[in-house]
Amino acid sequence: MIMAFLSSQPKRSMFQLNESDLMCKNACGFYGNPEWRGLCSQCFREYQKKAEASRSRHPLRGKETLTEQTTKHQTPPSVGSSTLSQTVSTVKTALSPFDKFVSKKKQQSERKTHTVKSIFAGAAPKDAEPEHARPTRQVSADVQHVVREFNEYLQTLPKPIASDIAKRIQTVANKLLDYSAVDYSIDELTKIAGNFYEEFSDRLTRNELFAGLDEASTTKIMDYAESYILIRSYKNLFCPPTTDDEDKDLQTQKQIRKLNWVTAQRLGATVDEMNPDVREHIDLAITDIIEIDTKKTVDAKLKCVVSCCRNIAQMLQLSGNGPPSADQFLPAVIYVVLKANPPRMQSNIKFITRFANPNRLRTGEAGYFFTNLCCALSFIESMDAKSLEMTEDEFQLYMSGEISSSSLHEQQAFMCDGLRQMNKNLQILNELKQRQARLDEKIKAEQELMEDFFASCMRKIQEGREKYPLIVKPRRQLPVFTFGPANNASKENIQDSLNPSWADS
Amino acid sequence: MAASAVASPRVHDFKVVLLGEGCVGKTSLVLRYVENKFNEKHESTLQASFLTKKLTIGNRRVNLSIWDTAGQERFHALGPIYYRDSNGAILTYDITDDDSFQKVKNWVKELKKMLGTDIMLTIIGNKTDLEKQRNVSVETAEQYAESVGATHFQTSAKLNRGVEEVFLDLSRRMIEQADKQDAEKRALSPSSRSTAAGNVVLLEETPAAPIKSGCC
Ligand SMILES: Nc1nc2c(ncn2[C@@H]2O[C@H](COP(=O)(O)OP(=O)(O)OP(=O)(O)O)[C@@H](O)[C@H]2O)c(=O)[nH]1
Ligand SMILES: [Mg+2]
Ligand SMILES: [Zn+2]
Repeated sequence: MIMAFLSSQPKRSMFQLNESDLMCKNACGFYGNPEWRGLCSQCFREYQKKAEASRSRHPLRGKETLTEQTTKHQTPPSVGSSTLSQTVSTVKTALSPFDKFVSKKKQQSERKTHTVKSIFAGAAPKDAEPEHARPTRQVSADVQHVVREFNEYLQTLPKPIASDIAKRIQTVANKLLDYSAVDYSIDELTKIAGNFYEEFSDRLTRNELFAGLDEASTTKIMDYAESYILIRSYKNLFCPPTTDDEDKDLQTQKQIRKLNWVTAQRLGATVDEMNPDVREHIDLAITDIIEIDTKKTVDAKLKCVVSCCRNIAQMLQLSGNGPPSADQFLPAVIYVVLKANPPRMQSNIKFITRFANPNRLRTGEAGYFFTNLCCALSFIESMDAKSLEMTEDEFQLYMSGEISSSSLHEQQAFMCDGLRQMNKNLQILNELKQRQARLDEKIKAEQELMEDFFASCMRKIQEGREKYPLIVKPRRQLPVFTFGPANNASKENIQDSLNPSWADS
Repeated sequence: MAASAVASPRVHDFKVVLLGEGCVGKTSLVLRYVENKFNEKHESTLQASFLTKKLTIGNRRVNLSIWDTAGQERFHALGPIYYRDSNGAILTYDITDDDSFQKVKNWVKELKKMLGTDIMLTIIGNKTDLEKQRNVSVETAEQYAESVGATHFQTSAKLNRGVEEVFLDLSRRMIEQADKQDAEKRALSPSSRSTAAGNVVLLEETPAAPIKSGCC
């Protein structure tokens, strides 16, 4: 079957997600779709018009110059020419797709240099010539990054698997891109993605071809697939004009601005805002949540969510509530969202709920944290007097700005960088003081110890001295030997000297 | 290389939500189960609100994601966002506190309304080590559980009694349910895809093809 497929589309690398292959054959800078003769939707329409003008029927069968371009446009010439084994053998020589992301000028000037050197030099051939002057658009760095990573991963897989995966993913990515470009309804686009995830993961787990893959690889493939199919259509899928996402974003932003008086305490979270360490984690969490909007893949967005929530958990821990139970956690997330007022929150959440692989939102840490974020936003949207346990009048006064929270000033003062730095420095000074005191104490103790030691030494010496007094006796005179006639007295003397006793005892 | 190997056993990713009044021991139960820890003083790991556990039942591998939920009244309306798409729910009450048992009943009603019979329910009477202060009789609880199609267990997170069984039983029932749903799906669209061994069927979809409607 693979063979049948390969021969039906000769000379195209199946398993390489080559960006240059994906581009419109007119080199207009947009993505092409194999189903549309490798053209982008706009060029395809023009092509159809032209074809219809020249012949009244069968625009798809029209033998235009474009067809030739399509065949000229292939990568390694031997790929897919006849058998799968051939396909496999060419994998190694296939150009890394990332390296094909070179500027179009370069592509046109350097042609047909399929050498290993050219791979690393970053020169890749591209034969397509721009037929019409439309502002060319460079493939964004985000796309490049995703494609490169995915390709690198595909290279580590057995070739039949890699080729199958690449083929499927490319098909659905093109479909999403084309459908979203022509303003298909968001529900239909969601369904395309959803069906793909379902079928693809089903295939990965059940099909014999993938039997050798472990769970981790399967998850990885799913994640890459998700990134790949979405990033190429990101502009169309994120906050699409067919939805009211943008209005909702503005609404939420306004609502959050009005709620600037809501404190953590009111929400039911214990946040020790005066503690600089806690403060730091709040700041980190705020940075993370704001960053979500800058990321272009579900994976990267969810990583921001996870990092944000980890900081929140840490901040709760530091605030001394013990383990951040869900009862503490959710209010803290709400609090951080209010503090951050993150840009395009609704759009980001909608993008993820609509297009993420549903399985990753159901399970795993990211899913849990993301759900908490959804809850937080939902709570904020519908926040009223009841949900904050205050009277309607009081709530209205706060909302209209007639009363401001007493602790708000405190908080905002604390938000001021200078004050915060001072506060931090004070704390450091305080710490230093305490350490100094501890050091002093230790020195004193050490001193006492030394004195004690000295005293005890002296005492011992004294004792020893008393016990074993050193008495120095005068030296005895050496015995004198006399020769000659001995008298009694001298005899005694000799005997004495024969038994000498030098010592006293 | 592994082409001839039998397809690896399916891995089930199950989401389980924990519901129940504050202080009934939800967190304690999960920590006991996942980390075999019990803290008299309510202090523990950094992440107590989300925990995972891998287990193998027969030839099935199961990854449990256990979600703790905020129990305060003001967050009640957010319940559906939490338990959306969950495969199981563990509803805990404290056997010494009848109020907490009434709360369980409310949760059951809500879950049934929102998720129908897709979700497997387990009701737990926790703190059996405080038998002397019991306020909810075993019969009442068991009768109620049966009437709503839930399983009932009694546990003590403190003494590690009955905790393992709760999750094992729930996992078994979730596997059964997943199999049932799979079978139903297959029955609905028998020709939707071929999984024939060895054959790689590459279908080209045309842009005009109607979009298949999946279950939402
Ligand atoms: N005697 C006894 N005490 C328990 C048992 N399980 C939990 N506790 C205690 O009950 C208290 C509350 O336990 P948690 O696990 O924090 O309860 P929770 O349902 O998670 O509470 P929230 O997170 O506030 O909703 C703690 O002091 C636990 O030590 C048990 O089986 N027996
Ligand atoms: Mg808890
Ligand atoms: Zn074009």
